[in-house]
Parts: sequence; C-alpha cells; structure tokens
Amino acid sequence: MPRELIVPDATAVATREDVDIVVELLGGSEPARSLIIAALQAGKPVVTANKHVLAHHGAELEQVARASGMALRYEASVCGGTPVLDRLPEDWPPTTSGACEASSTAAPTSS
Amino acid sequence: MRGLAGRLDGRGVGFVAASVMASSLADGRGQTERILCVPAHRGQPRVPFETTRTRPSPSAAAPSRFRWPSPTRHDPEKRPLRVGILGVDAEVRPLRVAILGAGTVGAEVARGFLHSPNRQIGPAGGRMLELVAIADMNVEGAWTAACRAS
Repeated sequence: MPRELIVPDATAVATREDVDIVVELLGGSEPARSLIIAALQAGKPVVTANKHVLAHHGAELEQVARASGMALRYEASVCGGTPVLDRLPEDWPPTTSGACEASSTAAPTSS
Repeated sequence: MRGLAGRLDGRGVGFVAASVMASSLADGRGQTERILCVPAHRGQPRVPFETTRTRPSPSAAAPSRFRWPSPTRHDPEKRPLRVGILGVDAEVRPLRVAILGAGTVGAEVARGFLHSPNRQIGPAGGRMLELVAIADMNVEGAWTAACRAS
C-alpha cells in the first residue's frame, strides 16, 4: 500500500480539490461533525457510518447539506448486520435520535 | 457505369437503360452525373437523349440513422468504466474517494479498495470509485492497520 495515501490532516483531505466524495468513518462527535461540515461546505458529498454524530448533530448536518446543495448519506449496520438508519427517519421520526443513540451504544456490544 | 431506373426528371420519360457517363462533378453539394437515356414508352421514338442528375455527397447527406451502441463488458484492466444511460455509453473517470479515519471500519473499507486493481472498486451499475487519500492523525498506526487489513 502506498504510504503517501495516509495523511494526518483530515481537514485538508476533506476539502482537497481532487477529492469527489468524502467518507467519514471516524466515529464519535468531534472532529467528525466539523469535518463533515467542512466537506459539505467545500462542495463534497459526504457518506458516513457514524451513528453518534448523526444522533447528536443530524439536524444541523442535514441543514448544512441542504444549504450547500450536497448530499449527506449514511448507513450503518447494527445487531449483526441489519441496516437500520435508512428506515428510522421514515418509520419513527420522533424517536430517531434516541434510537440512533441506542443503536450506537449497542453496536460495539453486539459485534 | 450502367443501370436501370424509372423516371428521371419532369419530362415523364421512361427508359430502359441509362448510361452514366462517368463525368461526376464533385462540388461541395454533391455529384452531378450525365446520364444517357433511351425512351421506352410505347409510341415514343427510341432516340437516346442525355440528361443530368445530382446525387448528394455523403457529407451533405441527411444525418445517418441513430444506432444504439452494442452492449459492452467492463474490463477495468483495459479501460475506464463505461456508464450506460438508456444505452448511451459515456467514458467517465472514477470518482475519487477520501476516507476519514482508519480504525476498525475505515481500515476495512480501505482494504476493499486496496485489494482491487488501481485501488478502484465498481459498484453494480455505478461509476468506479478510486481511493485517493486516507486521513488519520496516527499515520503509523493507520498504515500498520491498513497493511494488516490488506
């Protein structure tokens, strides 16, 4: 594997000109939230599997994505590979945040 | 060149044989040919006469009929992916992907790219994805994890 692929500055990578899509797989709230916002504002679509940041900052990130006209896509597997995040906003909007957070904390113990 | 034809011009003269005198005059609009005709209608004197006609040149002809391209099989070793939209092929470059984080999930996602030729993977029915960067504060650890994963 070419070593120069790995760089320490995540913000620079998220806003690089030669990057078309940013895949955020950091986990946790910060710096994931800041990096997603930076990438969206730089005109990069973002894909994340970070349930924690969506549970805590999902509405804000959605607003930033809509304002910048970029896509924010997310999906993650919990409970042994069941994709749930795509269904949550449609099926249980009031409890989305709580369910996301519950799945986020359950994920490490389930796998 | 000899050939058979029906009516030629507005004179309504039928003929059985037409000799094209091989005097094609190519100007930008087409080829003008001199044709020697022999009347064939009953009652007409069989006196050959000469006339001309113009054939449109291939470049000035009506646009050729659209043909759907034949289905192509993607071979990433030979050429980039050709994305088909309603059967129309278009050469497209891979989408360049940056991964933030090289932990458990990030290293495994990176492994998917690194195991593919040219660090490119192709989702079914979509454009190729090419890994161009992995961001992690711990470069050494990320490199070790990615190498272990790959």
